[in-house]
Order: sequence, then C-alpha cells, then structure tokens
Amino acid sequence: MADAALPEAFEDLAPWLDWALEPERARTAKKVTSSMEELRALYDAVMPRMEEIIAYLDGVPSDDRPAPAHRLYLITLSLVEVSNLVEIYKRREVIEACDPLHFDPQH
Amino acid sequence: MKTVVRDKQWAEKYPELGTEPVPTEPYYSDEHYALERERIFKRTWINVGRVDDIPEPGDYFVRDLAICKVSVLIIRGSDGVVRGFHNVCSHRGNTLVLDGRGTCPGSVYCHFHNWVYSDTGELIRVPDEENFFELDKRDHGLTPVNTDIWEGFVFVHLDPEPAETLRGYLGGVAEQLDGCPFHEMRLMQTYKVEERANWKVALDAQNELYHLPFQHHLLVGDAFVKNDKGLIRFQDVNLYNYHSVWSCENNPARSLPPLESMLFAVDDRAPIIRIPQMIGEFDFFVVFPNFVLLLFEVGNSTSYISYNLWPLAVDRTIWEIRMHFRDPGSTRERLQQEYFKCIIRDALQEDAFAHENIHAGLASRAKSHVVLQDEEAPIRYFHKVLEDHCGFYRNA
Repeated sequence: MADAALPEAFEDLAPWLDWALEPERARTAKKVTSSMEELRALYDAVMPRMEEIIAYLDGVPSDDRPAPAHRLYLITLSLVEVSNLVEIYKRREVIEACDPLHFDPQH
Repeated sequence: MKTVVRDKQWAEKYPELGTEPVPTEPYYSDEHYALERERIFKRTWINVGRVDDIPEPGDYFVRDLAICKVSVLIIRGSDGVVRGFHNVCSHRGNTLVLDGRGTCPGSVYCHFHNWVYSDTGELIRVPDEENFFELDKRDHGLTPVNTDIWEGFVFVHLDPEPAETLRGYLGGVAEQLDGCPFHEMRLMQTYKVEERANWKVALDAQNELYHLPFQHHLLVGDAFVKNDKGLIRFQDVNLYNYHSVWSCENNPARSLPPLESMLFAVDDRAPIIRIPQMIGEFDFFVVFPNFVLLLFEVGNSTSYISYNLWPLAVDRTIWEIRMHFRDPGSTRERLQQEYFKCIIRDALQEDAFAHENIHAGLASRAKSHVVLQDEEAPIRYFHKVLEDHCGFYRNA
C-alpha cells in the first residue's frame, strides 16, 4: 500500500506539503523565495492546528517517525521558520539584516 | 528580581577600567593584526572544538587557524586520548588531512607519497624506506600541538612551551563553570558566517546589551530586565584574569508572540532543569581572545551557544555559531528549541548586517576613538586585556 502523504487526521494540510523540507537551509530558502501572502497562508493554515499536531507527534516515536508523520513534523518546523516574519516583522523584507542564506548551516 | 537598575554601577565596581574613550586603530591596523597573531593567537589557549566532535577512536577534525597560518589536526587516538598535531606531513611538508572532519581507520596518510601515521601521531610506514638515508621513523612523527581539555572543550596552544596551563589560563571562568553539564547538551546546529569585518567588531558588537532595544527592537528588544526608560541593565558583570561575563535576567513582563506563547504554555508537571553554575538567566562569557559561551534558559531547561570568531584577515572574519540543546523529551520541547534557534539566528542576522557597516565606519578612520557607556564595560575590559597582550600603545 502506498504511503499516504500525511497522517489521516491532517490530510487537509496537503496543500502545504511543499513546506515539508529538510534540512534547515531548504526551509530558509523557501522562506526567502516566498511572498508574504504565501508565508501568511502557511501560518494561517498550520498555526491553529499546532496543539493537535503536537499531541499527534508525541504519540509517534521521534527517532522513527513514519514518513507521513515526518512530513507533518517538517511542516511544523517550517511554521517556526516563517513565524518571525509573519508575527513580528509583519513584512517580507527584513531591511536591516543580512541575507538569511548567508548563515550557512553546517549540519 | 536580582537586577539593580542603577546607572554607572560597573565603573563603581571596577574603577580600574577607567572611563576614557577606546582607540579605533586596533580594528583596522595591519600592524595591530600582526601583533595579535604573535602575542595573542600564538600565545594563548584557543578553543578549537569539543570532545563530542570526535567521540570515537580515529575520529578527527581539522581547524585552520588562518591568522597564524597554521592548520591543526585534532584526533582521538585508538587509546581514546584526544591529541593535537600540526596538520603537516614530516616528509616534504604537505598538508596531511584535507577534509575538515572524518574518521580514519587507525591511521592517516599523506596523499603526496603515502607516508602513513598512526592515530597517535607516530610515523609507521614510508614507501621505499630503504632508499632514504638513515631515516629513523621514530624521529619523524607528527609535530604535536599542546592540546588540553576543560569540561569537554578542546583548546590548543601554539607555543611549544605555554606560559600557563589551560586551567590557569581559564582561571575564574573555570571556577565558575566547573561541573556545568555541557556534555548533556547536544550540538543542534552550526552556522559559519563569513563577514567583511574585523573579528573584534563582531565580538564587541555582541558584548553588550545597550543595542538590544534599538537594533533588535522587534525581535528581542524586550527580552531582558530594563529600567524605567526602557534601557537594559545587567544583573552583574564579572571580570576574571583575561575573561569576562555579563549576566542579565529575563523580562517577566515581556509579551510573547502567538507561536512562542503557544509553545511555551507553562507545563507545571515538567521538571525544571537549571544549571547552578549560571549567574543570571542569560550569561555571556567571553573567553579571551575569541571564544564565547552563552548560557540561557529555554522553557524548563537550559541551553548554550558558543561563538568562535576566526580572523581570516584584518578585515575578514568567520563567525562560527554553535547551538546546543538537551535531548528533547517531547515534541513541544523540540519545537521550543527550534523556536529559540530561529529567533536567535534571525537576531544574529541583524547583528551580522551591522558588523560589516560598523567595520566600514571604523576603517574609514573618521573617528580616532569610540566612546563607551557603563553598560559597555565588558568591551572596555576586553580592549584592556587586548592591549595588555599586544602592547600596541605601550611600545609606541
């Protein structure tokens, strides 16, 4: 049987599967090439589900997540990645900071 | 609250620091940079990593100390001992190990003529050995570099005869942080940020909180205890033989953004893991010359970040940032860590932007001195220790 893309209770988050990215640099790269509207759309879809997602992921072994659960987890990491722009800066360009991709994650 | 919200208290605590402006020439002078090479980086203990970077026998990493034009190979031998060597083959001086880190199967070999060394540094095989002239392999092991370990941090000293032991050099920092459970915190992320700035620009910019409500006003400007004018006051400043630490308390009245509020909703059942060695709730230790240990609290736990400022040239630096967290006990804790990682990273991206602009301004020589206020006392102390080592003005 083919893997479902996401755990059954979260199948409605399928439009955000292109944010199921790793490692960190891939999430940062998607952040810097997305519009503010795209970032806000991800935030608005995932943020209200976070308590439910955390409860679900706590029931799955963190060192051996099935692929659908792992994709869901990566989407939450993307939510964290974009949250500063959506909640705090409230704009796409952070004028007085270096290019986020200049911070080169080594692991 | 332990913080005393008072003006000019650090000049009172440390009157010997004085209050004079600090000269700018050390930020851009080639001559000063040469003195830093000879009198600091070749003559003090330099942190190059952690024992956790090389947990198994045969594990190694290479650290280029570019300012000294030295490449150091740190390797855990098959006897379990961590040693440091010049990363140079004894035959014709080739750079021995070319990749930054890895594992060797008990030995390393030179790519030039296949000379082979054990993981404890002895020369063990020389192709066509019979055709050399009275070559005694025992005389041609790798050249050792003085290497010592404190609380899992690996330090090297390039002087063959260090004036001080690592323990003596660390002095009060070691006394304060002995027993700190660094080993319980895992390296989660390393960033290497190359900057067109002097290494001291990057370090000094981090070594105060006066800038926080301004440069970082959106992200973290409200993070720590402030006075009634909205300006941060340290809880404490401590100066050691060469090193310093400033400490502050978290602002209990800070309003949290929605995601942080949701992730950090208080869980009274979770045990609070605090590090008794901490002075405040956010301690910034500067281990002279270029190493920083930043201890802070995340939710119910404690984490730390280290910085190494690697000078490449007088106006080029690699700012290496390593973030360490405990193994998360839950998804929420893991996301709390991710949240802190991202918000600190994003704040440091604001800093990195500023470092290059600060350097450009200093290097323009428009200003002969910079003026420091009382909450910038740790910078004043750093420059005092710098001059004590370099003697740039003493000998002028």
